[in-house]
Amino acid sequence: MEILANIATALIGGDDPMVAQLTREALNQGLPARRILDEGLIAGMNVVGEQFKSHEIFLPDVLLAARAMYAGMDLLKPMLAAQGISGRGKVVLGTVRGDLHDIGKNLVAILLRGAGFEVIDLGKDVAPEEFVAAARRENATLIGMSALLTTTMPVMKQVVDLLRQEGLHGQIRTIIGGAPVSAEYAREIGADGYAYDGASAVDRVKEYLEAH
Amino acid sequence: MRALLRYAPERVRPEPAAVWGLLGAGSGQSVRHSRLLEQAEALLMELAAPAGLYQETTVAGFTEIFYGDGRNHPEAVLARIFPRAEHLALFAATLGPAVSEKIQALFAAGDFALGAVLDAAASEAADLAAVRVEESFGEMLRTGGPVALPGQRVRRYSPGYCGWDLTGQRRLFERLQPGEIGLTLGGSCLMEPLKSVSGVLLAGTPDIHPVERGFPYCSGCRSAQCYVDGSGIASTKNPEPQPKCDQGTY
Repeated sequence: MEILANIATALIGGDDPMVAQLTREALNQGLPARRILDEGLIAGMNVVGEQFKSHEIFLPDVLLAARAMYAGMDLLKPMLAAQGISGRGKVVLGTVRGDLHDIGKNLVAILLRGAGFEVIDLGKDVAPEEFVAAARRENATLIGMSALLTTTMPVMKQVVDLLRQEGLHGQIRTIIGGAPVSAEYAREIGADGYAYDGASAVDRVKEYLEAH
Repeated sequence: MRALLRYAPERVRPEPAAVWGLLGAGSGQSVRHSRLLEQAEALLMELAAPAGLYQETTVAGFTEIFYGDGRNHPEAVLARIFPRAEHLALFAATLGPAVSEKIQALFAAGDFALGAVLDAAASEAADLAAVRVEESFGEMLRTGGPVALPGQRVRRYSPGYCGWDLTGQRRLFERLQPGEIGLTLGGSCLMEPLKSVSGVLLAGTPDIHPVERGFPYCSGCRSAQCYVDGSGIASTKNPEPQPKCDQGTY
């Protein structure tokens, strides 16, 4: 449908006023919110994600597209909520206790939302108990943790250990990321996965959530 | 000697290529990207209050700081460098709190692209503030301080790099007391404001500095501030034109 393709194109170009205008028009034409989301906004963000992975575009372009996505999403949210339509899955995300670096975590949140996932962003300096409690409360099956400091990396293990203690290991998966973190460290602490950057975080989340 | 330094924001203006590099992009950006960078630079010039501090120390004094918590990497290359330095100084540099606050505000307002570009520009500017402190220390050695050996080079090293554990920040801060420039240290050794750099300045002949990047911790280092130039590691940051001083050495 042309208007949905136009929404995707405007989104890819980072044109947030146009995305908002076209989303309104699509709603006025009677198109279901879910269809506008899937075939317009998410379709556009999928193209952006692929272009980013293949280095055709880079981070600021993705962020401009994400802002455009939000412009459309803000209009769709009330309708999606009224119809009880949820996202592709729910992720609890935060920067671990003691660490105030949240730019990387914010980028992951933006990209995950752009890919259609619901993100419960706990912010920065998040205690292990908060991660686990939020995952329980929100019925999320995945926790994403970020750390930029070697001194705060051990908090990631505390979260993994706490999930084991509470018998949630296997039910709630964990993905870690951040400059000092590696796949080897993820294995060492028993996390389920490691994401090098925002794009790979989206891939890992897709793998884990879509496997359930 | 202890020196408190203030710099005009213009002196930490980052090179566009360095900012794009931090964002994972090469050169030759579009008009849209240039506009974003212009906006970020304007904010940086308006909000940054670059300041720095250095305080001379001795090999013995730095030994206590460096080995303080006993958590350095066993192959910490810095352990091989600082005992050979002729002059040492603890240092800190910061952009002040306003830039970090603006970055947070931009993200909160959904202006992600500008927030990310400002964040990258500010990271680069904080490093440049450290470069300015490094230069000031070198200049002091060359002109007004103790008699320096000809051909000395100043290079900076920070906790969290080159095998020096991040927890080294604690003793460094105890000795340097950088509250004078508004810097504090949190429980996880995180500096506040975030856009700050601290460490030690080491002056000595170029051969005291390492010429390889093959240490175990190098693979996890994304700063890539070092490179082999045939006589030691030199900064890749854009140093300001220096007074004639024997091929860039002090």
